[in-house]
Amino acid sequence: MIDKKSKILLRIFFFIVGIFVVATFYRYIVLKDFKVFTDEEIFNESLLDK
Amino acid sequence: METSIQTFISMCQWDTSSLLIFSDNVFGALIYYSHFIALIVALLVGIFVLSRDSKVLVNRLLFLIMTAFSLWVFFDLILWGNEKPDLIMFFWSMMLFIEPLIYALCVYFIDVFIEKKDISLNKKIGIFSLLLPVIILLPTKFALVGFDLTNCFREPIEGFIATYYVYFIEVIYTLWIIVFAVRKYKKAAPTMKNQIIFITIGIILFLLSFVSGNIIGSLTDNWTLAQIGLFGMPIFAGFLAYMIVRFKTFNAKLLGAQVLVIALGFLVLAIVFVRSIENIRLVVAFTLLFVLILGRILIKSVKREVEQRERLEILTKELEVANEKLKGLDKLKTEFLSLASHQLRTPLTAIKGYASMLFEGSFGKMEDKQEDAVKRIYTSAQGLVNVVEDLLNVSKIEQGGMKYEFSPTDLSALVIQLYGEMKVPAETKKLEFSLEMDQHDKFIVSADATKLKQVFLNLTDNSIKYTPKGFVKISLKREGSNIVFKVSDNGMGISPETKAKLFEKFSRGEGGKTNTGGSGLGLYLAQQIARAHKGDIVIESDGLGKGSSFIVTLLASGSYPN
Repeated sequence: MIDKKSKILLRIFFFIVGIFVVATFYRYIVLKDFKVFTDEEIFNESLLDK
Repeated sequence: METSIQTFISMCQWDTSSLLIFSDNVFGALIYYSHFIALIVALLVGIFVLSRDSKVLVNRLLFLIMTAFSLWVFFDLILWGNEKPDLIMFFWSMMLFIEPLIYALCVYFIDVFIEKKDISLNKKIGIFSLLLPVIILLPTKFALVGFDLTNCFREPIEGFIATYYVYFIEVIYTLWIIVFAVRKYKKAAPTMKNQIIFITIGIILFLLSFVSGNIIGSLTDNWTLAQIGLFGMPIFAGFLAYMIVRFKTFNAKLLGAQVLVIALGFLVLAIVFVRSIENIRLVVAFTLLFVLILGRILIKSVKREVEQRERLEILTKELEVANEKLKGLDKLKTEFLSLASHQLRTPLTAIKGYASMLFEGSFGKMEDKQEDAVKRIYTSAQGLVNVVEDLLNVSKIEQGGMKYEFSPTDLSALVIQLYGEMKVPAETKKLEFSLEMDQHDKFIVSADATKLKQVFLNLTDNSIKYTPKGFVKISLKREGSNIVFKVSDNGMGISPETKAKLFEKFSRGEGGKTNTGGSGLGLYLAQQIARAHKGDIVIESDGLGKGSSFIVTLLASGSYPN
């Protein structure tokens, strides 16, 4: 069985995980805050390749 | 998102997904098969193990590993099928965290499996602190720099964490597992060694098949081919589950056969669903490799067992022959003993008789010195008669020829007679010799009086012989339905090691090493006779120099032994 200290440690760990997962979700899904790289020249080349 | 970006996305002509994962963006059906089989099997394995005993830590850990792996597989499928950059960015980030988390849980799992206890708090901190940079930097540009639209690949651009750190800690975790297993293997008992080898190979193959997609994909740039690793996942997941559920009754051969059958079932099932001939070739090639490896192990194992069985049969036959020979020899020994004892008894009786007549003056008065010498001859002859008598009795018992004449016997008369006979030798040694018994009570048992008296005499004689000074006490009393005869002394005592084998044939106590004259058969005979009376003899002694008690327990009259 897991002792008391380990339980606290695991709770802290999963709390931190929870916070940063929510933060990631908020940034990418809600705010859609991320850079989109579009180099027109490379893009057109890749389309031609397709 | 800006309009220009939407234009770029629409120019890429990505298919719109339904339920996050189903779309034409997934160009090979094999991807769905490999992912769905792995996902379902991992979930089933996790639930199965947890349902066996949810309180066992190792079961919980495997459940966590399987759940994390199922999530990883599902997110991977989203990345294959989905076309929305925001969802791809999010689930790609999640996979960056789940992948090393599975490695961390595997380190935790193998430690608990081998040590059979939870790991220390420091170790937990050590394992999980390596994950902290990944978690904390997950929503930042250090994990994912941005989304790349320049080649329509639907991929983010990875930052430092995704490109280097995640792989770095995965290597650390893998090395951790290997080093830990090797160290434990060296110190493990032979029975545990096999378990350590199997569980380590199982975990390493599990993790390898897990990353094989990335490795094969990066090396060949063929991401469909990269899916074959996932087919191995259910096999190794099932293997790990089997290990923790059945490791108590671990049988490598049985395990190998079961794994082979289950794996073949999965692989053949995969062929049913795969339509492309190229993919069928892949699955068949993987199956062949798997069958060759496990088949070779199984054949070797069966061959070894057949050889062992043949050797065992030969040994059994040899043992039977040796046993027959031994029985014959034992019979010969007993017959010889009986014959020799009879032959010895006759001249000994003559020696004893003539010696007795000599010192009693039947052939005229002797000088003191002569009388003393003749008495010594008489005593030695008596000792020899006792030894011969013991040997004869033992051979009778072993041949099943010992005859008992049971009749209701009053032990009080027998014990009073014994007390009278043993008083002289006890007083000669200046020992305090006493009898404790209720003179008015009757102690009736069904017994062969002569033989039982021999037992009491033997025990009392031993007590007197091995008590240099102090007391010897004999007692007779009733305890419930039993009658108990007890001889206690404060003599040499008996060590626990000697006590354990004192009733064996030719066994001698500590005193026997200094006192000569005993055959080492007295106590053996005494116990055999007591048992023939449905009784028993027990020795009590606190150790050397602390005296001893010999207790004979007999059933009070009412039940006559057959």
